[in-house]
Amino acid sequence: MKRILIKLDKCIGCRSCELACAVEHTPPQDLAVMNPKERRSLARMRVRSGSIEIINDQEGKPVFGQPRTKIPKGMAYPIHCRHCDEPKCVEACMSGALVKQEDGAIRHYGSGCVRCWMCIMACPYGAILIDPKGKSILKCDLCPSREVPACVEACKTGALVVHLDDDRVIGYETEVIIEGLD
Amino acid sequence: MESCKYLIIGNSAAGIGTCEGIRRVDKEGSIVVISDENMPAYCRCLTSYFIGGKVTEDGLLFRPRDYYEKNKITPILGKKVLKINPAENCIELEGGRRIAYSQLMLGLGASPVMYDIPGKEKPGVYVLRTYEDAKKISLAAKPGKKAAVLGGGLVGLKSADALHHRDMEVWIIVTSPQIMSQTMDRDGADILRKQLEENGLHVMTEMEVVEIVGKDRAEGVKLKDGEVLPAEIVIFAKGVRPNVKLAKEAGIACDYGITVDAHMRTSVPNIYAAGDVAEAKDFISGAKYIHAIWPNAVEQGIVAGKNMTGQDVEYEGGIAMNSVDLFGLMSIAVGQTRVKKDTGFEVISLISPEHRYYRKIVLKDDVIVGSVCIGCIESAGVFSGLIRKRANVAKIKEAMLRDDFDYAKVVAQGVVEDKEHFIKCG
Repeated sequence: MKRILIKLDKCIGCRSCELACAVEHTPPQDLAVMNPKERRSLARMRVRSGSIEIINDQEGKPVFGQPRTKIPKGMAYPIHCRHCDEPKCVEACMSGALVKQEDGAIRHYGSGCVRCWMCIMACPYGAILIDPKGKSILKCDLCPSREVPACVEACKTGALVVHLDDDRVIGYETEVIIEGLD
Repeated sequence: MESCKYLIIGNSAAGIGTCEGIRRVDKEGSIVVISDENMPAYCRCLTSYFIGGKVTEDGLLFRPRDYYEKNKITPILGKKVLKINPAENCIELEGGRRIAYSQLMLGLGASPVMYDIPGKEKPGVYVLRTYEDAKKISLAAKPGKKAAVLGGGLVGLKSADALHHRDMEVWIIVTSPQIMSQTMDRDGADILRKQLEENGLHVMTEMEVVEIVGKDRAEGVKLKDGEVLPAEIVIFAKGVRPNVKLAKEAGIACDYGITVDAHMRTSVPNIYAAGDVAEAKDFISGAKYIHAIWPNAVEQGIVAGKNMTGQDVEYEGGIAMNSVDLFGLMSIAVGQTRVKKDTGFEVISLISPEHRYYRKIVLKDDVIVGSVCIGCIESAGVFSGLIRKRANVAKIKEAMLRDDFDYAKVVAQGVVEDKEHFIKCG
């Protein structure tokens, strides 16, 4: 069985995986030839900060709508769909748009989706995202056309690697220590 | 007499959940699914979307049409079960057909409650549960005409939203002081009410309809203060009651619903129950309760199905939860969101009407028992997960109220341990 291994202590919060995911889901899947004016997909996974420092504006009021892009050292956490064996999101999906397929992946078929957001309510990892226009969910599909998902291929620190059936490991398994990245 | 290994009465969330629970373990054992509706598995929660023109008949189906064939399931659709005979391990259908079972699952569902007020039998008065109900309402809906929806729960709000989408003028009339009194707290309900009103719906709270007036058909509703509101369509959305009749007649123990143990077993051997008819464990209180919602019905069905194959799986318990999107304002309420003062609960909240933002967390001894997210809902599931884990969240209380809260904080602050994890991928 193919498995993605996520090692949290190796994630430095560079967000290369997020970029690769967005590119993979935007035709023609090549950053170099993309037209910035055309519709782009957003990433279906994200790296977020574990910091609980409270951000207020100058008047001491809470700040809304500004996700933290700066991630303190040791606080980066890639939030991926786990493609659970007993998926709460699929149980909650009343339209049948989320399906656990034979390869184990949970995929979203947008045409059936009524945007009831029940999957969001059910996922304990908060791994299902909503596109900013509120028209669809964004959900990891494990890159069905690739042997190695784009996020794993993009990870240069060894935080995301793929373990294959025959114990082969694809990905950067090197010890990466980058100082001064705060 | 015909016979099968697994017999399932009910073709909705609990019934199909049971099929899936069974098939995860037993790929071959014969399954028969019976429903009195002549329709492949469809979702009743989507019927309001059908009225609103957002989904077609095919869009109501939550499994593909070839689902039964692919999973070796024999559907018997459009047939009523008249009797359950536990002594002979069989059921009897209308027309006299009898089917014997080794294991039986009762996904009997619930039916809308109609209050006994004068005029309720007039044409133009509806309930919304089934596809048939939805088709009738959809045919009656006409632009420019008026409708009254009695009840401010999810079915009421979604029906009102659907009729409004069909360009009708709609009143929502609620007995309680707030809409969504079962699932949403007062502050959250006020925000949602405002959203409805700003988009052209009329909401009346602490108001009762005492009569449905009209000559040959519904022409309006008479309120308790004597005022008459014109309405060609009246929808009763005052909640549902579990369909326990068949089970009671068969001697299966019922309270409000069919009482089931942690394995979804009824009081009678080889008979299980799940979904809106089953009174199962409540996760938070541990008492028996019916949370008549889709995800619980599916989960209970899966548990029942696995146990029917001989596995030993316990139901963790249901949690009240609901999600509703009203004119683009998303809201999710999970668990116990309404608590009285001085009852040992801690309530923390952050509200910003200008950002259409509201978040509230209800805790007991630093463990979450309920949450409300309005406006920003992406982390709503994280709260559901923390409720189920009974995790101590003392360290992240303030962060949980912010719109940038996510699972990263749960792990980084040590609320849940996670150093590395695997994701299976093929």
